[in-house]
Amino acid sequence: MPVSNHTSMFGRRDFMRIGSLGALGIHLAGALRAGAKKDVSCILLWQSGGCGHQDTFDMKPDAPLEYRGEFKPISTNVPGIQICEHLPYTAKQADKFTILRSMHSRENNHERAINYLLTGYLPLSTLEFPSIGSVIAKELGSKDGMPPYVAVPNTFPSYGAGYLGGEYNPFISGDPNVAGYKVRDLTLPTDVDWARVGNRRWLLDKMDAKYRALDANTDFDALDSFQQRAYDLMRSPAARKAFDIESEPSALRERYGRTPVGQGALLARRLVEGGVRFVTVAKGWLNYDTHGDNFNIMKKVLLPEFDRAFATLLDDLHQRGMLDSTLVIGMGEFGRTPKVNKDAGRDHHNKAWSIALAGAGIQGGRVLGATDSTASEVTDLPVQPEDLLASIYGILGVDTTREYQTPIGRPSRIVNNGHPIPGLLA
Amino acid sequence: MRTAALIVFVSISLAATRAPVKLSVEPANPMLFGKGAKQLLVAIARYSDGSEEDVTGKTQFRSQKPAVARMDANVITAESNGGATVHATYRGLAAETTALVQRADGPPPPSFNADVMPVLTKIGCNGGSCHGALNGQAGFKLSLFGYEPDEDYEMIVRKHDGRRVNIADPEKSLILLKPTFQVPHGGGHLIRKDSPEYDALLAWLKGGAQRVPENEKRVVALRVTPPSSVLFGKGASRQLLVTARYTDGTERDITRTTKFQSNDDSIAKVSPDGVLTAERGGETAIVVRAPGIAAGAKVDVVLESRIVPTVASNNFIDDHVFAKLKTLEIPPSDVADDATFLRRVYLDIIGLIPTAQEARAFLADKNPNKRAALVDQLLERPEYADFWSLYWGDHLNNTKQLLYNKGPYVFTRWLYQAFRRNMPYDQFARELLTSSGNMYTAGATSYFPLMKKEEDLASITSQVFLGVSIECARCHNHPLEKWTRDDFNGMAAFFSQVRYKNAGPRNNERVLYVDFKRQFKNPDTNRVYWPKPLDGPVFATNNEVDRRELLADWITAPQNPFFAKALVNRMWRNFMGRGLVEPVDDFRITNPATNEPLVNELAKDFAAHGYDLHQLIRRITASRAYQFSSKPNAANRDDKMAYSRHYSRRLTAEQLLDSVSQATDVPEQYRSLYPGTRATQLPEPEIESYFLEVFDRPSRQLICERKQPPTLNQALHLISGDTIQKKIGDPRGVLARLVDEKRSPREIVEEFYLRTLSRFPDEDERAAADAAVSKAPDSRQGLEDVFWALLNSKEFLYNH
Repeated sequence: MPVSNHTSMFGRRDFMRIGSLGALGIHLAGALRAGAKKDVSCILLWQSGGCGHQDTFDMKPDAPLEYRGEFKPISTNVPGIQICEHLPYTAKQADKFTILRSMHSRENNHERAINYLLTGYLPLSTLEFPSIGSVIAKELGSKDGMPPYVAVPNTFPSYGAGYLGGEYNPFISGDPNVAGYKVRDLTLPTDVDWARVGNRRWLLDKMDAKYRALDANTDFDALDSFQQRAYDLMRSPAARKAFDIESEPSALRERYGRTPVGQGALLARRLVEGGVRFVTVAKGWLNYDTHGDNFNIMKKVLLPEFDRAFATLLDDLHQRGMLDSTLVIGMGEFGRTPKVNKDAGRDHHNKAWSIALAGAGIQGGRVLGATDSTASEVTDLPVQPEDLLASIYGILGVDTTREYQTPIGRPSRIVNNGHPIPGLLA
Repeated sequence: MRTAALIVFVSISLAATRAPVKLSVEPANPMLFGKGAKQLLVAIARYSDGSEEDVTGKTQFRSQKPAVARMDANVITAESNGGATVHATYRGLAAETTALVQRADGPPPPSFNADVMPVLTKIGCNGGSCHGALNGQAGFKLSLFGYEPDEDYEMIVRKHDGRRVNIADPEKSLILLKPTFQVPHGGGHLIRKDSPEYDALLAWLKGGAQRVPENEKRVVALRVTPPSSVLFGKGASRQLLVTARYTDGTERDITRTTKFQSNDDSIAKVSPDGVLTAERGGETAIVVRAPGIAAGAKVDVVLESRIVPTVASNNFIDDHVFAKLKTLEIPPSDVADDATFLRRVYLDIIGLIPTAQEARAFLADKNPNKRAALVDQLLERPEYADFWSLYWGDHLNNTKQLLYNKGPYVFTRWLYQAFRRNMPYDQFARELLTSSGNMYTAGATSYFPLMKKEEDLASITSQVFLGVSIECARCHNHPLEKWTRDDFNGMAAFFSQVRYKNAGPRNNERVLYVDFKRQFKNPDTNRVYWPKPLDGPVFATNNEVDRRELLADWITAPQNPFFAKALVNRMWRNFMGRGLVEPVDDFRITNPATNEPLVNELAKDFAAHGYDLHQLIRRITASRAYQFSSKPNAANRDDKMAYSRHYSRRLTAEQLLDSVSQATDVPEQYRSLYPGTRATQLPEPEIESYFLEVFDRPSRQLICERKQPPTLNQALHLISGDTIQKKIGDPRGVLARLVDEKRSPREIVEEFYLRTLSRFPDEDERAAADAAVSKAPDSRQGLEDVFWALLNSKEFLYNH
């Protein structure tokens, strides 16, 4: 007789995994880690468009010129690890992060690849899967009244909650690099004070109370609850403080770089301090898609801003004692072609690329995985998006075997058969 | 206005205390194949009010010829060839059914497909989250829900050195030890050793775990008895019976080896043995699954008996809706008043609320046919074409991500012209499906963006024009439907001839042309597929025909079983708030329409009128069902799918922004577009607008219906965002103008109500507005606050 149902399966299965050792020991380790229950947050510096791995963290100085490109490697503060000359600040923080050189994916088109990386599922036209941040928002909930998932500066395709529903969509911060930055709509318009708000709410409550008797729509409770949360957030000194990037010393703001990415990383740190669990920081949409003039765009714009933001974020988190509880990831949806094209650009390459991971128990100063002599193919420790997501969720304490039901009742696991990257954690 | 429905609530006594008037036995005249074959019988008592009760347990069954068919309680067992009538008696009533026993010279030959596979499906081994997952589970992979018995046999009996079966000691087979949890099993403890499932597996193992090809048969059809049923009262139950018909023409009662699943078990639950139990008023479907095939049975639950008044029908839509409401015993809401109808029909047809002037004129109009006249006017407005271009832009991926910067402008223009002149929908589909030429002049070629491969086009065409999701079948046979990978590839093969060449100096400019010789090869298998429509034959074609023409012929033929239904369901959803089939593009046997006769007749009517969209809109909006109020009565608050009241929903992002702009007289300005361009007219979704983004404008990269859940960013934006505050305070806006014109606060409040809610305020509302104005430091500020509250009110934010 079947005794299985989805709601009870999780608890029972976990129990059994712990009980049955041997081949299933890996689950035990995961369960113990989750049980330790340290609040870990995550900041994702998202390189939308796909960043050239051979121009950053997987340089091939011995490859022919048409492969290795213009950039030269430099040494880092970890003997034996070299990265691109245009990442000098990052080179000084190499002891704090791990380079993973063996990402590979099955999608080579931006939209689909981004969807794959951020959800861990190959995209379907009939079902939108939730992004990492949305899953974390659902699983871990909000802390200290802060929204659990924030997109800096904005949300982009595939950032959303998909079938989990808009409640888990990211809260949008706006661009913290604009002068006089304020998070959108968190403060009242200049000509409206709280007394006026009181008058308005009094009237609105009267109207809504009357209308609710006339309509049985079940959205209304959620609508009212968000309205209340909005007022709470607007009046919360902690939230105001978290978003108040202007209160940072200007020297530190300069170190992060006066760019959307630099200030975004700084804002992300403040948000994590305030209780946000997952923050994406991006320059915009597909900025790294350098099909032409790759080397100029990289060295003049993309790498300097990433370098300052990433390096300063690691150092700042470390100084504040927050690095142990903050997972920092720098990555994009794929790498770029090993061979430089006729327009001095590099095209999409999903067979191998590099990402950088730091904090939250990840041992720094290491390189994991490897590619061949032209950075074309992974030769060691292949890691797919599913595996990366399994690692991220594991580190944040989300049970990856948990299963959701989509609106049509299709079961869908948080992670689609991924396995945590071996050796990532110290 | 039309007479309000008179609603009478009458409790009637429980079925058990009344005398039944008729007894019947299900199934009628069952066929049993093989000695020992079994068939369950169910006895149903019918009462004078039409309600039914499953009285199987209280009924006496007696076989007239026990030597042919023996009876044990309600179970027939086949003994020898021949016919045997079974008599049933209950409370003085009698009924009978005749069992026909064939091939009873011996037991049915053992069969892996018929004996073992159902067990694996029933206890869930081959479900998507267990061994039916794409990569299986713990090294053991089964085909999803048992679509590939050959592969499953190999996996169970031969793979991994045959470690899963132990012929010498069958009880020690892993295939038994695991689900009984005699050894650790990640899937848990699924069957007991004393269960029929265990017995079936063990019998097969004892017989040598054989698979004799000539004994193997597959299920070709499932029959569920009854195909639809009505349960009266919470806790009422009824046994479902399932009969399988096999490739060899035999049948078998597989009720005990079928997997039952309720689409909504908060309405009706179903036990593993197929017993329905009523939980809550409403309707749902039960999915019945046997290896490789699924079927559905509908269930209605009526909790309390109520007399549903007879309401006059305006057209056939009402006949079907009211018939359903009678079955479910749900009395409908009253017909909505003029103001509500006015605002609703504006939003549904042109995506905009009425102006104050339009509202005043309509409310004052004494013409008894003014509702129909209004619909006619709206259909001729240019905003109609804008609104439906937006809808189809959402559903046809009209975005520069696929069509490059200029494409969406070209495509929007094409869509606009199609709707402006009310192009018949069959022609609309044909032009999109068969277009060729330069993508920047032939707008319909936007259906074929360069990035979409044959498989993408197969999936999208089925979803958009047929309302059928075959995407699952891209990678595996569809778990909930009959579609296989061959069906998927057959659809993809219609698009193999679509090719592009570069044209002209402009970047990305391409010409779509037809390469007649090009075949479709599945990229994974390299196998060539010929075009084959869903449920249709393989098309004999040659290298001189544009296969897309064949597809368009098939899709738009009046006898096409999907095309018209898919469209009327989409339109129904737009007007009624919920599709007759939901999700709107997921028609399948296991997801039946809530009102099958209605969807069928709407489709027939639509085809008979030349696929005229205006005619369809007139038909829907003329119905009383469309015109019901969203105000619930005491009995229909929980109804979410029978259309006993109107289902309100939030204005879409574009409707909301355009309506706020119109109500305040302050239009939006979008970068690089003409001043006065409305949100609904934006050709593509990346034109910057925080408001539209935050209110869920779709990216158009996936095709799905809008989901509009409330969010924190929305709440903040309405409370303190610049959109509303700026517009109500704008010196060129309506408030500034009315104040300049020295209009009294009373007049201004009235104007606000008409501009936002399309109605006059009542005296209470006027008093509340007066109070708010008097509390403010000055009346201008107070009036702004009234305006703000109206624009934030649920009555404004919702289309009701």
